[in-house]
Amino acid sequence: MPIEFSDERAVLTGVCAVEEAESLLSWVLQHPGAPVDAAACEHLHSAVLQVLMARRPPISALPATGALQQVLQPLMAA
Amino acid sequence: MNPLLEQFVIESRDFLESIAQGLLTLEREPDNSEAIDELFRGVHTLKGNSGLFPEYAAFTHMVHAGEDLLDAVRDGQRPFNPEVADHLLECMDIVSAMLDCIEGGNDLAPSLCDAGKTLAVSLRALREGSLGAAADAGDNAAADDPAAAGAPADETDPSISAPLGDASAAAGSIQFRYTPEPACFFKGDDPLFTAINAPGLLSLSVSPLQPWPDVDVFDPYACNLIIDGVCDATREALEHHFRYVPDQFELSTLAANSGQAVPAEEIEEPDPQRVMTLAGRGLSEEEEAAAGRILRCQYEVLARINPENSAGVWRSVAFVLRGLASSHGIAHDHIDEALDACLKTDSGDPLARVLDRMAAGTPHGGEAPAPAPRSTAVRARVLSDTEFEMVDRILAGHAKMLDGEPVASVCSAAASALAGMRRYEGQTEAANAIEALGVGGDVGSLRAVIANWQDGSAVPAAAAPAAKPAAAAAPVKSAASAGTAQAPATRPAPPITPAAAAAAAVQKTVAAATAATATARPAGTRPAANVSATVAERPMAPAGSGLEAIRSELAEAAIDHSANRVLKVSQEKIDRLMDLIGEMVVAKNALPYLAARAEVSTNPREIAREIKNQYGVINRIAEEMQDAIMQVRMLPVGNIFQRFPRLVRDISRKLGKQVELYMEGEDAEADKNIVESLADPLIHIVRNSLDHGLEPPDERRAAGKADTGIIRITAFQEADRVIIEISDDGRGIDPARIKTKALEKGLIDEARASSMTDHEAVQLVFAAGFSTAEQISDLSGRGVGMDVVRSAIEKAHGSVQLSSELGRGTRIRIALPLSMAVTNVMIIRSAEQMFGVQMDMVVETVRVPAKSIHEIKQQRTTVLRGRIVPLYALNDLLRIPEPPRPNEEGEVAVLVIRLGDQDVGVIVDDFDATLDLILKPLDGVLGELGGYSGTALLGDGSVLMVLNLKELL
Repeated sequence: MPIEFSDERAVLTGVCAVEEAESLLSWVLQHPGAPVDAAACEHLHSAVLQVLMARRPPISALPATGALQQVLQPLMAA
Repeated sequence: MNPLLEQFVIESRDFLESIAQGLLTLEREPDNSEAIDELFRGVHTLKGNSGLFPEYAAFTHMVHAGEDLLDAVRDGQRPFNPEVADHLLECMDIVSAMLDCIEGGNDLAPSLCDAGKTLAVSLRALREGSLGAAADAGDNAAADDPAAAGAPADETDPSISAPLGDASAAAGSIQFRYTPEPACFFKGDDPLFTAINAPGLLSLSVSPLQPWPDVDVFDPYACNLIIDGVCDATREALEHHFRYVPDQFELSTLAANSGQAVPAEEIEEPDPQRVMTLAGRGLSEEEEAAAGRILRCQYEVLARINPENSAGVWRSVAFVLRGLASSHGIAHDHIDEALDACLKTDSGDPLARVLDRMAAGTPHGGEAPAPAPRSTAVRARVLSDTEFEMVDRILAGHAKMLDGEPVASVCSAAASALAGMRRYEGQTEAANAIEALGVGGDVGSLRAVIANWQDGSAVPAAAAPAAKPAAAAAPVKSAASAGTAQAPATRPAPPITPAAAAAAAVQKTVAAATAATATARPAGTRPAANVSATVAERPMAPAGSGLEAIRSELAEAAIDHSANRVLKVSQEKIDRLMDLIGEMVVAKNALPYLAARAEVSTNPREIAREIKNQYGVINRIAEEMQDAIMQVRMLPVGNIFQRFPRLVRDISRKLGKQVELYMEGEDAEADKNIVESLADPLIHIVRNSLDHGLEPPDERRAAGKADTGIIRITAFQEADRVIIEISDDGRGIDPARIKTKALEKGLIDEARASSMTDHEAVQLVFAAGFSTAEQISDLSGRGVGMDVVRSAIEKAHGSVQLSSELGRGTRIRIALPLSMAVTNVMIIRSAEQMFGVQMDMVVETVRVPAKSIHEIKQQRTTVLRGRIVPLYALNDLLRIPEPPRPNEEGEVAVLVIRLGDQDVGVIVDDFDATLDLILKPLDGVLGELGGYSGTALLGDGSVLMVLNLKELL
C-alpha cells in the first residue's frame, strides 16, 4: 500500500513496494525529524529499509510482532 | 521444451565448441589477447543466457566462477597455465553434461550440481591464487557432514581437514549471512523478503555493508545490506531457500579457519581510534551502566570460550555488540572487521580489543579482566575424543613410515604432517621445531617426537643438516628425559592401540608413502606429500573420475544428440535457391502453351523440337537447383576436425606421450551426412595413432626421432571427391606381427602368409575381428576395429587406403564423394529387363565376337588389349536362367568394369543410354538383398534397379 505522507508523519501500511523508497527518501529529506509510523506495516522492500537505515528518521511505532519488528527495532533508538 | 530453452541449448553447444577451441589456442599462445577476449565473451554470454532460467542456477553459478577466473586472466592477475586450462575444460565438460540433462527434459542431476559446486570452489580458489585454499574450502564443506569427514581424515593431513565438531553454534540451529549484490533490486530480488521467509527463522539482523554515503550520493536502489540470521532448519532447507543466490549466501561453519597460524602482520585489525566508545553518547547514567554491564558480560563469554564453539560464540558476541552500537547510533563496520579477524586468527583478541574501546568510560566497563589466561585458552585447542583417536592412528602410520632408513622426502612428509597436527592444536612453536627436524632429515628425533607425542614434550632442537646418527642420538635422549619430566599438557592419553582400524590406516599411509617416495617430492613442500599419489593425478582432471561416472549415467539414459537434426545455412545459399525456383516457374509455364500448339499443329517435328528446347531449359534449371540444394547440405570438414585438438591433448597427456597435431584444409566441404558419418571412424583412427602408432618420448629418442610425435590431418578436394589423409610419424604397422596374428586367428593360411607382400599384410588390419592389442585399453583395441571404420566409409560410398612403413609411420587416406545424390548410370539390357550400372566403375563397353571368348577351367575369358579379362554373364550373376544373346554379327556386349586392381567383363545383351539419376538406396527387407545399390525413377515412371556389381561378383 502506498505510504501516506503528511507534514507531521509518514505512515507505512501493508506492503511497501520498491517504488516507495524514492518518495520516502525525498519526504524524509524535506521533513527532518518527522516520525515514521510502521505499526501497520506488514512488509517493506529492502530499498525502503535502506532509506530508513541510512537517513535514520525517528520511528514512532513498530509492527507488533514478527521478523520485521526485530529488524526495525535497532532503528528505533534515537 | 519451450522454444526459448531449445534455442538456449543449441546456442550453448555452439558456444562450448568455440570456448573449447579458444582454450586450446590460449594454451599454445598464453599471451594472445584477442583469443582471451573472445574466450571471455563466450563464457560471459553463456553465463548470461543461462541466467534466463533460474531453475538452472547451479549452471549459472559454476560458469560465473569460470568467468571470474577468466576475468582475472584477462586483467593479467593470473597467468593462463595448463592448470587453469584443465579446470576450465572440466567446467565446459560439466556444462555439456548439464545441457544433455536439459535437452532430455529433466532437471539438472544432483550429482552434476555437486560436481559443479566443487569445481566452482576450485575455480574461485584458482582465481585467488592457490589451489591449496580449494582443498581447505572443499574440506570445510565436507566437514559439516560428519560422515564425509570420516574417511578422508585417515589419509589427509589434519591441518588441512576440518575439525570434527558440531556445525552449529547451538543445538539444531544454523547461522547464515546473506550479502546481496548491489544490483539485485534490478533483478527483482527483495533480499529482506527472502531472508524473512527463510525456513525456521529465529532471529534476524540487518546491517550496512559499507557505511551509508552522504545524502547527495545515497542511492536507495543500490543494495548495501548484510543480512545475518539464525535458523532452526537443516542445511539443505536453507540452501534450497537461497538457491537462486548461492554465491551471495553462506552458512556459517566452525571450520572457517584451517588451524594454521597466520602471521600477525597479515591481519588488519580495526584501528583502535576508530572504534567508538559507548560512553558519553548522551544516554542516562542508568543506560550507560547497563551498556557497561552488557559489555562486561561479553568479556566473560570470550574468556570462557570452548574452542569447539568459538566461531559461533564470536558471532554472537559480535551480534550483541552490533546491537549495542546501533542503539547508540554508532556504525558497526569495525565490529564486523574484528569478527573477521577473530575467525582468521582463531583468537578472540580482536573482538576483545573492540570491547575494551567501546567500554572505555562506561561505568563498570573500564575494568578489563586479566588478558593472559584468556588468550592462551583461546589459542590452545582441546581435542575431542574422535580427534584423539585420529591422531593416534596417524601417529602409528607415521611411525611405520619412519621405520628403517627412509628417504629424505618421506622424512619431510612425516615431519610436515606432524607439524600440521601440532599447529592444529595451537602449539605453533612445537610445529615449527618439528618442521625443522624434517628439513634436516633428522629421523631419530622425529621418531622420538612420535613416541612422546601425548606428553606434549618440548621438541628437540633440529640437528645441523648434515647430521650424523651420533649427533642425532643425543637429542633423542634429551627428548626422552624431558618427556618424563614434563607434566602432561592437555588430556590423559589413551594408549596407542594397534587396533584393526589402525592397521588399515597404517597400510594406507605406507602405500601412500611409497607413492610419495616414488614421486620424490623435494623437502619443505606442502604437508600433503603423503597424498601425493592423488595430487599427482590432479593436473589431469580435478573431478575426472567423478565426471566419467556421471557421463556414463547420462549415456545410459540414451540421449541421442549425435544425430543433430538442425542445419545452419548461410543466407546466400537460400537466396540462390529462391532465384532458381523463380526461373523454374517461368520455364514450366511454357509447357501448357506448347501443348496447346501441339493440338492444332500439323508439323510434329517442329513441336518435337520446341519440346526438346524447353526440356533443355528446364534441365539446366533443375541441375542448378540440384547443385544449390546439395550446397545447402555441405559442411566444412573442419567441423569434425574441431574435436581433435582436445582429444590429442587429453590422450597424449594420459599416455605420457608428446604429440603435436597439424590440421590443414578444414575448409574443404562435403555433404553433411558424409561428414557426420566420418566423425567416429576418424576419431578411431586418431586414437589408434595415439595409442599404438606413436611411441613414448624415450623410445622415439632411441630411434633417432624428435621427442614430439606428429599427427597430420589434411583435407582437400580432388575432382569430385574429398580426400582426408591422416598420417603419423610413429612406429608404423609391423607386417610380421600382423601376419602372425592373422595366422593365429585363422584369417589366412600358411601359404597365403608366405606369399603376401608387406603391403598386403598391413591391409589385414581391415579384416573383421582383428586386433593386436593385448590389453583392451579404453581407447582402442576393443575390436571396434578398422573393419568397422572401412564399412562406415564404404557405406558413404567412399574408399579407404592404408599404407605403413615400419619405424617411419602410417598413413590413411580416405576418399569420399562430394555429394551423395546424383549418380551417373548406364542402362543395360539383359533378358528383356533393364538394369543400371554406375558409370564410375565402367572402364569401357565393347562388343566381343563369340569366337574370341575362350574357356579356361570353366571360366570364360577373352583377351582385350593384351590383357586377359575374365567374363561373367550377368544372367548368371542374377540367376536368370537364360544365356546372353549375341547380336546379329555374333558379337556379345561386354561391359568392362574395374574391380580393385583387376578388370572384369560382364556380358549383357545390350547397352543403352547413360543418365544422371538420384539413387535411392533400398530400404527395409529389400535392403538386405545384396547386389543392388539402389533404385531410381525413370522419366517414363518406371523403376530402374541399379546393380552393385561389386557385390555380385
